[in-house]
Amino acid sequence: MEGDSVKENIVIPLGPQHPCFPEPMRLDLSVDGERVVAADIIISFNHRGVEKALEARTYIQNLYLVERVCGICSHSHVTCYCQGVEEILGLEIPDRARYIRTFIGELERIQSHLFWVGTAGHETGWDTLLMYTWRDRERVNDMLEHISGNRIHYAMNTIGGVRRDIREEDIGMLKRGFEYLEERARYYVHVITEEESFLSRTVGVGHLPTETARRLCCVGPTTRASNVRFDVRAEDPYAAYGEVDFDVVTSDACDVWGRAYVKTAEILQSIRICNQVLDHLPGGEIRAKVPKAPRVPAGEAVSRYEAPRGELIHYIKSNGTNTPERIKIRSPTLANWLVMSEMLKGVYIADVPIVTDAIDPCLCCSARVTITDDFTKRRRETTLDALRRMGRGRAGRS
Amino acid sequence: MKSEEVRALIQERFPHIAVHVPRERRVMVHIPERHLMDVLGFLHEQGVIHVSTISVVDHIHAKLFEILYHLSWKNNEITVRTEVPREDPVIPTVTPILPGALTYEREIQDLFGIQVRDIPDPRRIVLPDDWPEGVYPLRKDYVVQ
Repeated sequence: MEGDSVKENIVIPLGPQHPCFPEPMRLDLSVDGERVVAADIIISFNHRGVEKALEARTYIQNLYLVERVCGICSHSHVTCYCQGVEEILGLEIPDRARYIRTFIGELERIQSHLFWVGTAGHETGWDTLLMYTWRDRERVNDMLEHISGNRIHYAMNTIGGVRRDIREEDIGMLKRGFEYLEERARYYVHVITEEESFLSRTVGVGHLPTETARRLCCVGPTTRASNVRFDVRAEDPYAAYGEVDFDVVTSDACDVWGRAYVKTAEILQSIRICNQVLDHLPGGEIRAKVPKAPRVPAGEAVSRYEAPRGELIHYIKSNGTNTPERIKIRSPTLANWLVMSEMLKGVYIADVPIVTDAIDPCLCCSARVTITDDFTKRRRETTLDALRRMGRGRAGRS
Repeated sequence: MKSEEVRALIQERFPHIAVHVPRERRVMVHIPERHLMDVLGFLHEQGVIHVSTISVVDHIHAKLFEILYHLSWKNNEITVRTEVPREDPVIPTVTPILPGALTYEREIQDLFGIQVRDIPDPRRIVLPDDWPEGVYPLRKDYVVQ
């Protein structure tokens, strides 16, 4: 027994390059056998200095930089930024612009969630789901391209409104798109709820109790899947969210399955919002008149936005010139690191990819994991495919 | 909850501090650093738990750092702001009452060199390992190379 008490856990470094991580990051997993006992997250590989760069550029130049903070939720960042600057300027934007911002924001949420459902399928060894959802995501990207001319960085926003209109003749095409997407989203909700191979990899995995989610300030679908009703669109309505009906989707599952359910069910709510916007799109201008290089009076604004991954917040301080004094950006993923180490406690090593994936990543292109044995100091490398095979083997046994 | 009610609630308990509502759903509370824990402790007793983030503004000419705690509570974003001298920027950790603030406390230590007293995890969070000690990129006197 005494021999057991001095046993140390083995630490497995995962990353910095790994397909299930949105950015280069490293997880140091302390494991006892196949179980993770503690996870340390190191994210200091990709600080780009965007906040510093924003201070050196004018408010208009910053539109382009802010849009590039994230490739998947580009519209979220730039809308959040514009709202803040407009608040300091005391600018009321036209109703039509508010509705178009909402519309693009929801299309972005649909494509982001479809993207995630696909990667979740991939991480659980179910690539058919990846093929299906990414095919449907193309349809959303086509719709976005049709309106804005771009598939990812839509460049729709400017200070004072939006840059492109939704034309009357496009509404039929958009409506047909939503009919198709609604049918598909219903299918995904069904398949995620019923498909045994998916359930066996996700139910009870990556447990995050309601109390922990609340205490560690978790945001977005991750917190809503732990039964916390926190959604900026409902709590602090911006753009046109005060004027459209939608439900805040929550789940009391508190696991990876719950996160998958919340995201797929949110696609249906986004479609509902988009249809309401198209039905009640106000007429008139799409942007207010703003000087080409606006000088923004000294002031400050706290701007919030519900990005696909959760609460996004920009704190903007101006100093009376045409460049900002300070812009603080807190993206939703940063808020979810603390809970991620909680979610990883007690999971199987083979479930680490799907648990980290569940807070919603982007995909990069490396597939190598180094396992270090703390006793022998020997290292061996394994591939992600081998990790997945371990996971499938476990699912088959249960 | 209406922002005016939040303002009244805070003002009733702390009559001498400045609380104002710039617009609905935003509450700004301005306090001296020595009252920080009292005010955050009081808000926590009322049920405030969600820290959205912590922002810092470098007032280089006034020789101050302004620190802003953005807290989300009952449809309001409450911003508690305080100042610390630029030469000796030290604040207490708020993690005993608001554990979710840890990420942001580590972040302001990295980027502004603000010392967070008794922080449970003082390691770097966003700057790389080979970043020089004592260089804080978001301070106004840091010049981009």
